[in-house]
Amino acid sequence: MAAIEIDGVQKVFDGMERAAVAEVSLTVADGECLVLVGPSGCGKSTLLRMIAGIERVSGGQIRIDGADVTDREARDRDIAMVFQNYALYPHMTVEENLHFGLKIRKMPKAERNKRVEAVAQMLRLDELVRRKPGQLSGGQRQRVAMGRAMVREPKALLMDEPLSNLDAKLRVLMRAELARLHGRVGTTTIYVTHDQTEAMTLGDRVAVISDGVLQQVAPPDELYSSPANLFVASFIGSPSINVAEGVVRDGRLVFAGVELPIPPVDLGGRTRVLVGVRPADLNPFDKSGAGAVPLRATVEVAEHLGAEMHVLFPVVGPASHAGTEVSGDQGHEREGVLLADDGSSLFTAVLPAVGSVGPGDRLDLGIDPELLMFFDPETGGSLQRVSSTAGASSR
Amino acid sequence: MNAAADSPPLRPRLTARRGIGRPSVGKLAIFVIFAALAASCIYPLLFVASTALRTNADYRASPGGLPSSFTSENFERAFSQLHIGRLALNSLMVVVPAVILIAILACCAAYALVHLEIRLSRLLLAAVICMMALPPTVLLIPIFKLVLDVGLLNNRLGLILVYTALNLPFSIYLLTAFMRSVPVELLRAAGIDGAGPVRTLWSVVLPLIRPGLMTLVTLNFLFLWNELIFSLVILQQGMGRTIMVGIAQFQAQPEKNYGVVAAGLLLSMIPPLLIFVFFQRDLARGLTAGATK
Amino acid sequence: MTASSGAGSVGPRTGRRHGARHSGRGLTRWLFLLPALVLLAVLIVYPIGDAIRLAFTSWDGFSAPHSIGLSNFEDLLKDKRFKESLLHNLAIVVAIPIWIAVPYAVACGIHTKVAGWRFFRLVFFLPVVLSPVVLGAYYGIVLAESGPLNGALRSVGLGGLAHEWLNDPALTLPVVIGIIIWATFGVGVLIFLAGLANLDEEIVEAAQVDGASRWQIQRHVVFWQLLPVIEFWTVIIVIASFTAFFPLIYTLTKGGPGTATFTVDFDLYSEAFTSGRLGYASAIGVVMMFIILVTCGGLVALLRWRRS
Ligand SMILES: Nc1ncnc2c1ncn2[C@@H]1O[C@H](COP(=O)(O)OP(=O)(O)O)[C@@H](O)[C@H]1O
Ligand SMILES: [Mg+2]
Repeated sequence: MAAIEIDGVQKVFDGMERAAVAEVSLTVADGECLVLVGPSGCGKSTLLRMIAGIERVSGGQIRIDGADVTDREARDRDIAMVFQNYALYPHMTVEENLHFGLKIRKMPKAERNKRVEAVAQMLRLDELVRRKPGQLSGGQRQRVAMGRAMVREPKALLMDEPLSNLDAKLRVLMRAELARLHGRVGTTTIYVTHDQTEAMTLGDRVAVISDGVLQQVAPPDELYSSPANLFVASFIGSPSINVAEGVVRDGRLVFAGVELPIPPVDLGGRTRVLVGVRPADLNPFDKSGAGAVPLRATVEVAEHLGAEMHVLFPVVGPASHAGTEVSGDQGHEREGVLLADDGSSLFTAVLPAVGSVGPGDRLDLGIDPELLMFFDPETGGSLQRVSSTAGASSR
Repeated sequence: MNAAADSPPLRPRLTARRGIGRPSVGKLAIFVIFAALAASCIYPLLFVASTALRTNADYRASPGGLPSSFTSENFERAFSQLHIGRLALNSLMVVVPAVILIAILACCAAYALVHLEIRLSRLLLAAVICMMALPPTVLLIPIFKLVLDVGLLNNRLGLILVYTALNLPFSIYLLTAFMRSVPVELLRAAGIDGAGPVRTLWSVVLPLIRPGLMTLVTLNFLFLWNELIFSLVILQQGMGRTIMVGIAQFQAQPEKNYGVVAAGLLLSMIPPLLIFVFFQRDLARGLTAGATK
Repeated sequence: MTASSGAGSVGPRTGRRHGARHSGRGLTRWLFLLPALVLLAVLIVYPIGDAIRLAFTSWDGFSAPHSIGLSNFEDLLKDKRFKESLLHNLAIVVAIPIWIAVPYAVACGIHTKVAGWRFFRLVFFLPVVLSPVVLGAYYGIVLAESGPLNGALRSVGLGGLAHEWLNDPALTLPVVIGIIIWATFGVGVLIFLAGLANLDEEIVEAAQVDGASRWQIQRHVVFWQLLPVIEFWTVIIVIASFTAFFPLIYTLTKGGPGTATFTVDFDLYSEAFTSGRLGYASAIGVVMMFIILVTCGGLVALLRWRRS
């Protein structure tokens, strides 16, 4: 086990003008599980492959356990990797797959057997050791791939979308399994995914990447409550955050058709800002906090999900255009923001399921000014709260 | 280390596979071996060309070296003594009809086997593949007898039919692979539009498998132009001989003239070289068909 | 898959049966197949049978063949030249590992994008397009006693290496085998390159991360992934080793010196069209067919067995 330091690492593919990975600096602490998340094509895999040593860096330095490994080949870095398509050796049995990395490193047979046995047991592969990968189900292959990485007892474990080839149910199961394994083994792990739910549930910390640029690295709850910019705010959380333009007038904020007091945020003299509110922070008015301002919503779409429902309703005011490329929960990508027929923004509220709410119904919701997030309309950067007491009330 | 300092990789992923700080001694060794091998592949062309262009005396002075003077005499004698023009024409008159016939028959057969509901089509395809593996030498004598019996010995038609049959199994096999890549939906659409099987083949399937057809035609032309043994046995008579038979027999004479042989070789290489230059991709595709399945 | 695909059914993509709807009823679709089938039946299937029949006859090519029972085969057992030819083919079979290894290694070299790989890939293919007749004539000149090769060796002071390449019983067969390998390795390179292009790169990367050296990756991963391609190439060259030598030997050595380069296919031709013993030659053909069948079948079975 070891810490991994990534220092200004960059990758420009031949014949490409833009960097696939642009000067990313990160530190993964010993034993930590860091998740790299971002929409597909943003450079997550490239970064991971550079850490693994199967892709060269165009610039920067990578240190594992304090040693500069930038120029070392993959095999001299003592890391293990779980690939998206598992990459099991098809001509070897499960057992041989598990043994391979150890045999290559000339480990004595007795010790090898011990390790393989232990890992096979931990991953419940005992029954499968004599089979070949072709005779395994997707979930079983996934476990073998995990096992192959774990028997090595590497300094660090790298995983590139390891669950993306499983069906939805199995994915949730394996996600919990991975969390359990990391808890038990505690190997330094870098985990790549485009699925923000996976990122939030697995990561000690989550690094959000967009277009090769690192946006924010923070623990999941911080990422959710204090995103560094509009991209992170939109990418994290499902359903996606509601964003609309807010106008400052006479010391009050006009936003989504309602007028609110301005919370203690450093607006830097701006009169127009982008304002975001999480769907889960829109509650029925009678259940909202004391400072909440009423917002009358006319339901356009109501999605009943059992325990809760998602209500979509139009709000007054132009839609924001800053939050393009918002990624939904299950990896669906939505282009831009939902729009109502007349071009105004559609907001989503996550409400406890009550009776039969349908299109045309009116709901009284409450907006708590304390829970609003403010972003610069030009840069998308988050506008910071002034006092620290305000932050405490938001989740 | 600045990774970009090394020779720019053509495909980064492939370069990366070779590791990061790799030694280049091995690469140099590979390069030297490859260069020697490449020289052995190019030298025949240079040698034949230079020998054809120089006088015999000049050749004897330094057989492997460069010519000191040029002459067209060898080419003139290739036409007058070796009758290379006549031989080339003979070859074309056999090879071109055979190639066309193969293309037509293979197209229809592959289409029927893949896209028309034919009972036993699996079995027939398996039989075709077995025939591909059959060494043609085994058939030499019975085919000779058959051609003799029906009176087509020393007749171009006989050789055309034999060539067609011998290359048909491979051609059908090759085309079925291309036929399979034609989406069934497209054929159904054509059917719904009222096109019969002939119409569908002509205006839907053929345009889609043009690359396959090109491959087939170039490959068969090359095979047949270069073929020796069946041509030797079926077109034995002097004036009908194909170019390879003519050259093989001419160069077997004890008092052969190297210059004339070289001129003949050079001229006989023209069609293959043209194919090599212009249809390399088609050849490669045809020759590797079936290798990765 | 059922034979009756309903009118509105959205069948599987692989459904070959869909064609039924526009193939018309009756025999029209057989008409597409018929010309090819007739030609194959007459000029391939029937001759196979005839080859076997003729093997039991004596036939000079002019009079009618007459049956002589097994005596052709009995003669074959005593035929020194035939046995020698078989032995030569055996020597060729022994060379098959080289015939596989050379294109395999060259393809791997090209695949690593050695400097000038595009050029090499093109040039290595050149001998393939040339007729064996051309190559035979070319080597006949180049390898002659007083030819350019010996000339070059002598001129650089390596006269000791000069040989009678085509007139030395011990040397000529290896030379001929070498030429055939050289003339065909371009096809092998292409075939192996196609295999390498289909390689699962993720698995190679996994092996890298697992700590395998380049050689270990070759041995434990790439080789196994290419096994089907190797198998394919092996079957091709096994067949070629019995049938590809004729044009080269016909133009280069005529089987000589003596019988040093007689192969089974050249022996078959000589018996039939030089000695006029076509029945006897047919018997050689039958033996040859049998040997190829057994070799290829055994080979495929062996490889299948090793893989499972
Ligand atoms: N070998 C390559 N050559 C050129 N461009 C590449 C290569 N690999 C990836 N890219 C590009 O780099 C960007 C990042 O890719 P990748 O790291 O695979 O994204 P992801 O975040 O989905 O894993 C993409 O735009 C991709 O097209
Ligand atoms: Mg990726």
